[in-house]
Amino acid sequence: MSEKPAKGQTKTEPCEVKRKNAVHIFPEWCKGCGICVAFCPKQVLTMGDDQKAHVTYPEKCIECALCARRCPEFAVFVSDEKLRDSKKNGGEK
Amino acid sequence: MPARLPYAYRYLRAKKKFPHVWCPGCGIGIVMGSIIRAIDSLGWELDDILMVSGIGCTSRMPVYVDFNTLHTTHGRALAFGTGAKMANENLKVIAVMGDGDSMAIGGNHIIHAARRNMDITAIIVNNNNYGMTGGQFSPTTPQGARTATTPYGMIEPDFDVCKLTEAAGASFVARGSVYHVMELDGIIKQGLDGSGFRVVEVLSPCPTNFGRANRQGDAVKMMEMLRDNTVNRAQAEKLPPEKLQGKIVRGVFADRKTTGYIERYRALVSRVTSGSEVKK
Amino acid sequence: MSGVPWGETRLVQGNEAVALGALAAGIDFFAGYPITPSTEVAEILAREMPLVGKKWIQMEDEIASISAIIGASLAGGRSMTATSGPGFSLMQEGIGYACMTEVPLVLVNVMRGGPSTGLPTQVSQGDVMQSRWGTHGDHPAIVIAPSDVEECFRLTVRAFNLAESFRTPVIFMPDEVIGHMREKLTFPMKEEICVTPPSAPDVPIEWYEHYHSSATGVSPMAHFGSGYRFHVTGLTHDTHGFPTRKVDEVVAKMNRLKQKITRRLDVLEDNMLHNVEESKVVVFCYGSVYRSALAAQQILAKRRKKVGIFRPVTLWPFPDRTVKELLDGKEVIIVPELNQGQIIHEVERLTSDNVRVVPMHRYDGYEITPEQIVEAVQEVM
Repeated sequence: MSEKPAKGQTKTEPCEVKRKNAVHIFPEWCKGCGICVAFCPKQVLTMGDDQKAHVTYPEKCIECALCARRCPEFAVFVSDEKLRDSKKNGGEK
Repeated sequence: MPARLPYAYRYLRAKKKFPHVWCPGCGIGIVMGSIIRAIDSLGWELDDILMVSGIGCTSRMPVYVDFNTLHTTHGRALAFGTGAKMANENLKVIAVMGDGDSMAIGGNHIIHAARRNMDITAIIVNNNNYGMTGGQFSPTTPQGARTATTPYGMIEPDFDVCKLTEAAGASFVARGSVYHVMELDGIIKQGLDGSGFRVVEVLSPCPTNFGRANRQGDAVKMMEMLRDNTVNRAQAEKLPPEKLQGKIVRGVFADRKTTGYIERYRALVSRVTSGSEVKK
Repeated sequence: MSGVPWGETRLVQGNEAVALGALAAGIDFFAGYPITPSTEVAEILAREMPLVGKKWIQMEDEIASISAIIGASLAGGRSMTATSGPGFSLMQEGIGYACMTEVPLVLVNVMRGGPSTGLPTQVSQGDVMQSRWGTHGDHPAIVIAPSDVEECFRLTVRAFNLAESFRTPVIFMPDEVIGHMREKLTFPMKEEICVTPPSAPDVPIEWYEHYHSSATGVSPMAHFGSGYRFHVTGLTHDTHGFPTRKVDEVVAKMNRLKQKITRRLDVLEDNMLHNVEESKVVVFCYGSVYRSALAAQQILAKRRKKVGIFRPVTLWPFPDRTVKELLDGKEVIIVPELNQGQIIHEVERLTSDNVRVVPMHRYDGYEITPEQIVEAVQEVM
C-alpha cells in the first residue's frame, strides 16, 4: 500500500506513488494463449477460470509493456508512450 | 474498451472483425503489432503503404490493417508488389509471407527480387510448416520433424532463409523471433526504412499444427523454445562451437545499402532520354 | 524510329503494331518473359518505354509477369504483357485472379503450334477454348483476334479501352502469321485515337466501396496510393472487398462478374460480314484464316460462285445472337480453323440440325490457303 501525502502539504515527500493500473486487457479479444501471463517479469497477470488473462497484481507492474507487445491478439494495452518507445524499456536477454 | 483507444487502433481496419483469424498462441499477431509500431515510429502516411501477401496464415494479415492491401496468389506477393512499386514509386511496399509461400512456390520470385534488389521489404514469418492447410512440411521444416506430409519424419534438408536471400543479393537481411519482441521491433523498423530488397525472417510458433505434431507443447512452451534455442549475434560470437550446436542465430546479417531497382531504373531513363545513348 | 509515327505510312510487323498500339493507348507498365512468337512485342517496348519514362521489366517467368501487371494496374498503371501458348498456360491463375478482383489488363497471346512446346515458330489457332475457359471457375472473358497489321495497332488500343471500361483482363490474340507478317500501315493522327480515361471514384473516401453494386456491375474504382484505401483479395468477397462466405454475398459477386459482360454485349460484339445474307454457303473464320477466306471469295467470284464470310473479331463473348439470326438458315457453314476444331462447336451449338456445318482443320503448323477454302466450298456447292 502507498502513503498519500498529508492534506495541505506542498513539499513532495519521497514516497511510493500509488500506481494506476497501467495494463488493460480486452477479454473479448483474448484467446487465453497464456503468453502474457507466462512471460510477465513481475507476474502481474494470471489466467482466470474463464480462460482469459487478468491483471491481478497491478501494483507490481513496471510498465515494461512486454505483455502488450507479445499479445498476438491486440488484447493487451499499456500506455501509448511505453509501447512506442522501444529503446527505453528493458530489452531481453 | 476504454474511451480513448490505443494508438494501434488507428492502424487497424475498423470494419474488419476482431478477434482475428489466427489460432491462440500463433505469433503472426505479434509480428503485425511489431510492424504497426515500426510504421508508427517512422511516421508513414497510411495512403503510402501497400501491404501485399500471398496465401497462408501469415498472408491473412493485410485485411486487418488500414493500408492499401493486396492479398494475392500463392507465392506471388513479391511479383505483384514489384508491379505496384514500379507503377507507383511513392508506395512503400511491405510483403508479408509465410515460409512455404515465400520459399517453396514463391522461391523463384524471392531469388529474383533479391537479385534485382527490388525496393520491397519482405517479412517472412517462419513457423516451419504450411499451417493454413493443416500442417504439411515446408522448405524450412527441420529434418526429422513430423508434419502432415512427413508422417515418418522429414527427410529433406531445409533452407536457411537468411543465407539464401543474402546470397541472392538482398540489401538487408535479418532474423528475429516473436519471443524477442523488443529486438524484433528494432529489426523490423530497420528493415522497413530503406531501399532495395530487405528481408526480415521472424521465427514464430504454430502450436496448432507443427507444435502439436512434434509434441512441442502449448504456445507458452514454444515461446520458451524460441527463448532458449536462439541466440543473438553478439552472444553467438562469444559461445564455443559446441554450445552453438542446434541454436539459431538472430540479428542483422547484412545491411549493404546497395542501390535499389527503382533508382537504377530512374538512372536508365535519365541516361536514354538525355540523348547521350547512341541507338542502332 | 521512336514512338508512334502518327500520320505516317510504314512497313510494319504485326507484333510491332501491337507494341505501337500499346504506346498509343498510353501504356504505363509492361512486364513479360520472352517467348516465340511474341518476343518482338517485349523487345520493341523495352526500347520504347524508357524513352518516355514508362516502366518496363523482364520478369523471371510468366507467372511473375502476369502478377506484376496486376499489381501495377491496381497501383494506377495501364498494364500489358505478351506471351504464347506455354506462357499463356502459366498465366491462367493470374487471369482468374484479375477476373475475380476486377483489374484491367491486356494480355497478348500470339498463338503457336501446341500443345506443350509444340511448334514454337509456326501458326495455330489452338488456344481459342483456353482463352475462354483456361482458368478455373466461372469467369468472364473478352478475347479479340486481329486479322491484319492495322488491326494489331487499332484493336490493341480498343483492348486497353475495353479492359478499363469493363474492369477485366482482355486477351488480344493474333495467331503467329498475323504476329509476324509485315504490311503497309498508315498510322492515324494522334487526335483520331480515342483512349478511355482511367476510372476514378465519385464518392468521398468514407463512403467508398471498392466493389460497389452499380447498375452495370462496373463501378468507378480507385487505385492504390490515391487516398482511397481498400482491400483486394482473390477470395470471394463482398462489396468492400473483404472475404465472405455468406450465400447472398457470394451469389451477388458471381452474378456481378457475369453480368458485367452479358449486359453489354452490344459494346463487345464485333463481327465482319461479307455477303452473308445473300449466300447459302458461308465461311466462318477468324484470325489469319480470314485473309485466306477473303482471297478465296474473290477466286470464287471470278468463277461466278457466291460465298459469304462471317468473321468474329471479338471471339469471346461469342456473338450468339447474331450467329443464330444470320446463320441458322444457311445451307452450309464451312469452319476452317488452324486446330482440330474449337470454335466450330459454338457454331454447331447455335445452328439447327438442318444446317450443315463442315469442319476444315489444319494443324500441321501451316496456313490454310485460299485454294483449300475454294476447294472446300466447291465441294459443297
